[in-house]
This record gives sequence, C-alpha cells and structure tokens, in this order.
Amino acid sequence: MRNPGGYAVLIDPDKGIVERDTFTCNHCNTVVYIKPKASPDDFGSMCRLCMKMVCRRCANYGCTPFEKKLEAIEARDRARRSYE
Amino acid sequence: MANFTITNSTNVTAQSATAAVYTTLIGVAASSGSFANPPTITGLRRGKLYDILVGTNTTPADNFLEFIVSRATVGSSPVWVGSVSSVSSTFANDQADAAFAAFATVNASAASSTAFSVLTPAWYIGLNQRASFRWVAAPGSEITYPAVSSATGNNGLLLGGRSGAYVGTLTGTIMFQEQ
Repeated sequence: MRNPGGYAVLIDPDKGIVERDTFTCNHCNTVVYIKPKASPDDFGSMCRLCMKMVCRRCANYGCTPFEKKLEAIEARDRARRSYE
Repeated sequence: MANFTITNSTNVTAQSATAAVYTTLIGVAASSGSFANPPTITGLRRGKLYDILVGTNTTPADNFLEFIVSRATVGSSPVWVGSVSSVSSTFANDQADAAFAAFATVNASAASSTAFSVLTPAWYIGLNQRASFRWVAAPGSEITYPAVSSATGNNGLLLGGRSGAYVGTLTGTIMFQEQ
C-alpha cells in the first residue's frame, strides 16, 4: 500500500514473520489490515470529500472526519462542565 | 507532547487469567484527576495510542486468542484494581517529561469498577497462542481518545484479551502520546 497509516507484524513459529500494512479509518478511527494486492473495495474506500481512507463500515455513509467528531465531543464536554 | 509506555507486566497487580470474556490488560482514559499522588494534574488531555504489542507468557501450545482495543467510558473516581496513575511519572519514555494526566490501569477486570462500559472496538486481532503481534501507527493514524470526562463518555481506550481455550495470562504493551 502506498503511504500506509501503520504497520503490523505477526511473529509465529510456524508461519514465520507475517507483515501487513494498515490504515486507520478517517471517519471512525478503526484500524484496518491490508492484504497484499487486495482490491481497494475489499477493505474500504477512499472518501472523495476528505480524501482519506475509510473502512468498509463507513464507506456507505457521509463524510464526518474523526477529528470533527472529537471536536464535537470535547465541545459538548466543555459545555456540560460549564453548567456545573 | 510526551510519550509513554505501559506494560501489564508491572508489579502493581498480578496478570489476570484469561477467560471467555475480555479481560482488560491495560486501560488509559482522559481524566481530570482525583488521585492521591499524581505528580502533575493539568486537566483533561487527548491521548493517541500509536503502538501495541501483545502475546502470551506461558508454555507454547495451539490455542486461539483474541485481542481488542475498545473505546470505553471510564469513571473519574472508580475503584480500579491495578491503577498506575499514582506512579505515572515512571512511564514516560523520556524521563525529563512530565507525568501523564490520564487515568491508567493494568490487569483490571471489568468487574473491578462499576463505572465502566465498553463501546465500539477500534483495533482487533486473532492470534495463535504461539504467536506475538505488534502494530505501530504512522504519524496521524493513531487511535485517539478525546479530552473529555467520563460524564460525557467515550473517554478512554482499553486493551483486552480473551480465549475460550487458553489457560494462562496474556501480555500487552501500549505506547501512547498525551497532548
């Protein structure tokens, strides 16, 4: 994978070392493992709005980057604490 | 932005035996801090999990293991067996950095706190008992928890493991950055 978002290595006495590229879904922050030479449709898609990789679960929904979700959660928390 | 490493081999509590349900190896959560001896409390901070290592530490055999990183709501004043927050300064990769402000626990079962709810998984791997596994994120692709309190929810990440067949203990290490 070009520009992977992570790297996973499994060390198994029988199989030896198994390596996989990963990406982290830009919408839900889930880590996805990439099989070598897999079709992009098999593991998700690239969101054409934020231009980042998203997982299969998020591929059919609209674009809400995880950073935006974090900001919304933190804003809600700040508001809630301001009332206390 | 200090980096920290926590393993579940710390001597705070004994490693928990595996079970058919997930047992928490390591948990970190944003916390405003209400602990007896934190070196510094600077309020809620975002955390980014960027490296995970998992495996087992008993005699090799063929069994199936599952590891997961779940989002969780972790209470601000729970009774957690295995809390390491009071010794948080010892986990900094660079000892010149300040201690983390997060709440962190090792080898705690879900039953050790009443303020605990596991939400959606962010990372998952199935392994043979003989294997060990490492995942490391490229910058910008970390698993992130928000800087919020437990009242808002979704404020932490838990690394857990389970097995229906394996009898023994699991090992886990996480590296995270606090911002």
